[in-house]
Amino acid sequence: MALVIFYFLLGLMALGVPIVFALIFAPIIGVWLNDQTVFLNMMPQRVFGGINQFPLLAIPMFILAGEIMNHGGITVRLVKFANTLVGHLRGGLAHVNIVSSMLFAGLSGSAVADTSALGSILIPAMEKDGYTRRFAAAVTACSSVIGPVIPPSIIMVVYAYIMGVSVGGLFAAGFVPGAMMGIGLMIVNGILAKKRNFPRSAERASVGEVGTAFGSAFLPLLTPFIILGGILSGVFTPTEAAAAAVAYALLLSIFVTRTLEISRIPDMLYRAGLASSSILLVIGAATVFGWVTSLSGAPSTISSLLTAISDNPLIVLFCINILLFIVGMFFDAGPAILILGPLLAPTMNSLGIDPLHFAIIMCVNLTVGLATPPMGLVLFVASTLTRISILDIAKDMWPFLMVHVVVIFLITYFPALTMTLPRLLGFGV
Amino acid sequence: MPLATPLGFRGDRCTIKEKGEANHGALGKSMNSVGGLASLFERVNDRLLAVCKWAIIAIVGVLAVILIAAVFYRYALNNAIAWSEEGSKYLMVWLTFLGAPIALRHAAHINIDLLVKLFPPRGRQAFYLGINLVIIVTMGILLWKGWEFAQLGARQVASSFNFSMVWMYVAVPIGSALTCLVAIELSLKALMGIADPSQGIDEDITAVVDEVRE
Repeated sequence: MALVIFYFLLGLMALGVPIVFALIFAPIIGVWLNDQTVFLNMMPQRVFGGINQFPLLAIPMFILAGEIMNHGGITVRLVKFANTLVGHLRGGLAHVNIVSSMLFAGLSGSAVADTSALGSILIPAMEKDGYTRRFAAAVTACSSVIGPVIPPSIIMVVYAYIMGVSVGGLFAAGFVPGAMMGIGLMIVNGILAKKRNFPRSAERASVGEVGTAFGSAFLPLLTPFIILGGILSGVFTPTEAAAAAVAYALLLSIFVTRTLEISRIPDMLYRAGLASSSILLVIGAATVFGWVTSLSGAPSTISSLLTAISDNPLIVLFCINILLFIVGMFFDAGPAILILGPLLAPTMNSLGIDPLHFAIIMCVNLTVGLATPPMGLVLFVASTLTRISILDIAKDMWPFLMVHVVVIFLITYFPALTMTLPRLLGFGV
Repeated sequence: MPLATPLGFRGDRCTIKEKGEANHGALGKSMNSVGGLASLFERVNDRLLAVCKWAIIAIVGVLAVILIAAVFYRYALNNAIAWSEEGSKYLMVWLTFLGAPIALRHAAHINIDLLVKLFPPRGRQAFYLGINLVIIVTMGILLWKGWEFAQLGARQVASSFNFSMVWMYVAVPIGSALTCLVAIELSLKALMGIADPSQGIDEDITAVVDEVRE
């Protein structure tokens, strides 16, 4: 009985009902079948309570900061800086795409923002340089998922909120996997470049040129350090850090790049508002879903299913990674975390896995899911930008996706990779 | 007989044709009234969602100002704004519920459309009708129960400023009602789409969306 609501949820979603409504409708059927319709009275309160949370304000603020940075001409500066760094390598623009994604990741918390901001600049440039459009789209999609792994990260804010992990600790844990993904992608690109004889996009830049480009990108690149430093030193809560990021982005685009147009501000606010609204509503709906499923005893059922696989945490982690990868092929990362986090994490903690370690595994795995076919927001955006079908783009993605799979397993089995930085920074883990 | 047959045959064809025309006429007529209703809902929703849009712009702007000011007051002036935390949370709830109907109209709520895409246009419109009926039921219940919930707020006052909680709680039923209205509009369009897919829900709408969703 405990799992019936899950079957309803999956059924509704398979039929095409948007996740947010399926998350409320499945529990409604559940309580109705169980003759517990009295619970319906409490649903609005649960939705309201799930959204009415101070830590969640970090979501609209981080999204708004990303919007402002992108409109403020900061993206272009990052791309130019990346070009002086790696443009002279074989496969130059593809490398630039990957490095820009790593740099942009520090400004924005969402992979989708990364895809559309960098894709709209770099995909046409790569095509002009002789890459196929399909390959350009594949590189953009695969490198975009670094966005929510390197802080700030909306997905991590959501995880931290639902599971009570430290946002600062999770942010700190994201740096190393993010860098590993970027470097791994560059290695694969280097091999492909040699094999397929990709062009270089720039002469080797002189130290002076690199310095100039770095100078113009330096202030924006400070953003993640301001955010993390503020949280770490106890000056900022994550929400305040996000607000500070908005203020910083505004200052940069008013005084440094001087490209902020007042007339575009309403548009930025609107886009940030709508994007936040969809995420927040899913959080409210997931609160109802989680509440009803826990009433029906689903968590203990799932927990016993998991421990029945094996009591060796390494084997269970392997299976969970496979499960999350498959889930990521179909689900968006946010809902997947909201539904599965409360079910999986407590069991893993009782098996001796550190909560922060499990958190980063889950966040990275489901973030990669944004780019895995057949369903994924990042793929979806890359496909609309290029007018190439998702399955076609996917054909060029496999070597890059393998990098992400390797990173997921490395951080799973070598906790030191992710845990050292939070420990050094004193997040008490 | 040889004469009668063609006559009779012609007669049969005539009646069939007439029947068909009559049927088509009735269907066409009912579709016309569905279409009229759909465009009525569309016009009403256009107005309502335009209000939501400007409310969202104002809310996000005010949120940014409040939160930045709160940081500034606390650290630079050493004087925290007492109501900033509670006030900004409530604004965020309103933001969420005012954005929901707009997201529905722009097909920006994430869904899995692999199965739907396997069907021909007419079948897809039937799917959309079913999906929107589910949304109407879901949001209808949230509207009904949310209205009762909002009335509870009449007896509560927000703790950091003197404001009845009705004004916060009522975001739930209002957002649900607006989402219902959009879902009704979309259902009517899907109904027309089952008769004639070119009249139904525009499937290219998602192209507009990722610009918004980003």
